[in-house]
Amino acid sequence: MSRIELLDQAQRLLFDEAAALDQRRWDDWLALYTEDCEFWVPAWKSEDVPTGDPGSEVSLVYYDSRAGLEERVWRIQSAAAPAHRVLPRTCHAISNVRLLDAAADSLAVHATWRVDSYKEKTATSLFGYYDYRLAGQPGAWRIARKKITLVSDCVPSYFDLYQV
Amino acid sequence: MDMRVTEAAHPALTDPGRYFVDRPAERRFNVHRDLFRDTALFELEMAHVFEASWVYLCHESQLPNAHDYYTTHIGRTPVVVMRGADGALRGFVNACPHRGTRLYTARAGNSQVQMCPYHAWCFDSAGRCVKIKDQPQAGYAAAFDQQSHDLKRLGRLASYQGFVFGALPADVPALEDYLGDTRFFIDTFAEQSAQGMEILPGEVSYVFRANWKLQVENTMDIYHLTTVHSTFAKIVQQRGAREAAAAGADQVRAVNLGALSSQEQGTYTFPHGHTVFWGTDPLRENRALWAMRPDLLARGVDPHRVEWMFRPRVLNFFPNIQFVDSACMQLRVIRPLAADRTEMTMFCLAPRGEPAAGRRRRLRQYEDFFNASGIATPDDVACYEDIHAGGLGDAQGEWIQGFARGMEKAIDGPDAHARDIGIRPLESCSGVEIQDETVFRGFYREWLARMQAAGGTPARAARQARA
Repeated sequence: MSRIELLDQAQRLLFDEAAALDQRRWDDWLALYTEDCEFWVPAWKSEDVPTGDPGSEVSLVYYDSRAGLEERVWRIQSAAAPAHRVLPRTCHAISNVRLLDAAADSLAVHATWRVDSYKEKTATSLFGYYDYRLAGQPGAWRIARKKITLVSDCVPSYFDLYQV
Repeated sequence: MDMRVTEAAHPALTDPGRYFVDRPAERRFNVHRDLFRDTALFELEMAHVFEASWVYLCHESQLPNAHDYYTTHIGRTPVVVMRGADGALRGFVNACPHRGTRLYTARAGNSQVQMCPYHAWCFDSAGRCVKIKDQPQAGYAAAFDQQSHDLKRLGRLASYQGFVFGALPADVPALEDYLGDTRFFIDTFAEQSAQGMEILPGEVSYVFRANWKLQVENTMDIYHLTTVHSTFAKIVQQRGAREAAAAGADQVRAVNLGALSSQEQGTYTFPHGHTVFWGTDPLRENRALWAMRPDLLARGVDPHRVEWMFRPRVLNFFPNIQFVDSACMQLRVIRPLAADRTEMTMFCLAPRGEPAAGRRRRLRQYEDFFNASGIATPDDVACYEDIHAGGLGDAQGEWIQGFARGMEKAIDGPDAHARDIGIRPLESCSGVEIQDETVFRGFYREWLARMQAAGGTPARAARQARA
């Protein structure tokens, strides 16, 4: 399969994930991830350097399996969390998608993102980079690792996984 | 004298009854809603609460080497703490004396000589002006040469157990006296490793749209845990069940809030507005520190302190830092930006030399509860913002109905636990399921005493007038 076709498949997966989050199709979102996926949003240790080791440095979010994502989905839908009484509308924009590496069962993908959130007549935005590792085979990829570098890390109030 | 403060006749300085009803004999304490929204009051708070005495600045581990620096604020004033060539820490206003340009722009770094970006005046790491560009041929008068061009030094800078505090004025109490018996609680944060403590890399910050005092209250507030953090409690419970099913898989485990609320707990109020909440952790063996407990006892740390290291506890240092230890330790630094805007910066404090598995668990517990991207703190912040979004409840009258819970249970002086550990709080409240609110009073009484002192009433007289 050509790199162009693999890049196209990777992009579709990224865009499908964005649509699932913006449309609040949480189960569809979870289904894009492998059970043993790693989901990581590093913090920053200086103006220029994000944290690099979740074992010894602080992250904003770190999960080493899909269970963490499932907890978030349960919480968002529980109607019991004050932070989620009204969900913001979100709009994921993904661009600059690059295929960094392609193997028979794995793709490494980098992209730039911006998510605008809108709640109670107030708009906020967060932006940064995605680094994905997709696992599976051509035509059937799932997310085995997603690293979200949040460039704008002094956030307004708080955020959850569907806002990055 | 800060010339920005022009509200000399503001009621906060002259009329205590405008903001508080404080009648201990009637068991009555109320706070007026304006305390959280008056924009003129905000400037007075900056001048008399934040810029008039000690505030927390940083931890010594953040600037270990000669010429290291760390930037922060005291109220509205940008501040830089530097370690000189002699190894000593000094604090300065972070601005060039020439035109007021901020000198150090990065959060932290290492700089033997710092050049002002505007006109290239240079300063060494002891704050001395070492160069004024083109000085010899510039035509400066003798009056200029007679002035000091060094950086403006903070009135006071001192450390306790590695925590660095500073004050703009020099006429403040000695730091140890200002901390008083809260030092016992700081010791329970600072003495967890024979190798000392460190701030882990990764500073997390967020800005919420609410008054800073709501953050102070929240961290003393046991009453909110079972409602605001019900989803957190449920998730922790589900993890426990999953973990049991998986027999030994190391999932994130954290304090059981439901159980915490029904265990013995209490609050202490100390002089200078400091307050403490403590509880009983039914799952203390889940703490990363548990593995280090034998070492703590073996190296002779006071067994009382070791015992208290495993109690959930929070020390609110008046006015700007919260030492929190629920499952793991957190330092929360409060920086008010406006009456309705507050910047929080959070640090993960950990014992040096901790085993890798414990360190990993500590980090996951920290992120889980404390981060603004976690599953607990966002709910606290949402509640502060809902208080403001509700206009602080104008239609319900002027006085907030908090601060009443536990009123019949609070006592003057130490309770049995306090006597046990040899500390003398002004007030204590302890028991099971009390979820005390009376502890907020200590914070507000100090707040008012500061304002009254600025208005010409000495703090002691203000306290006596109340009694």
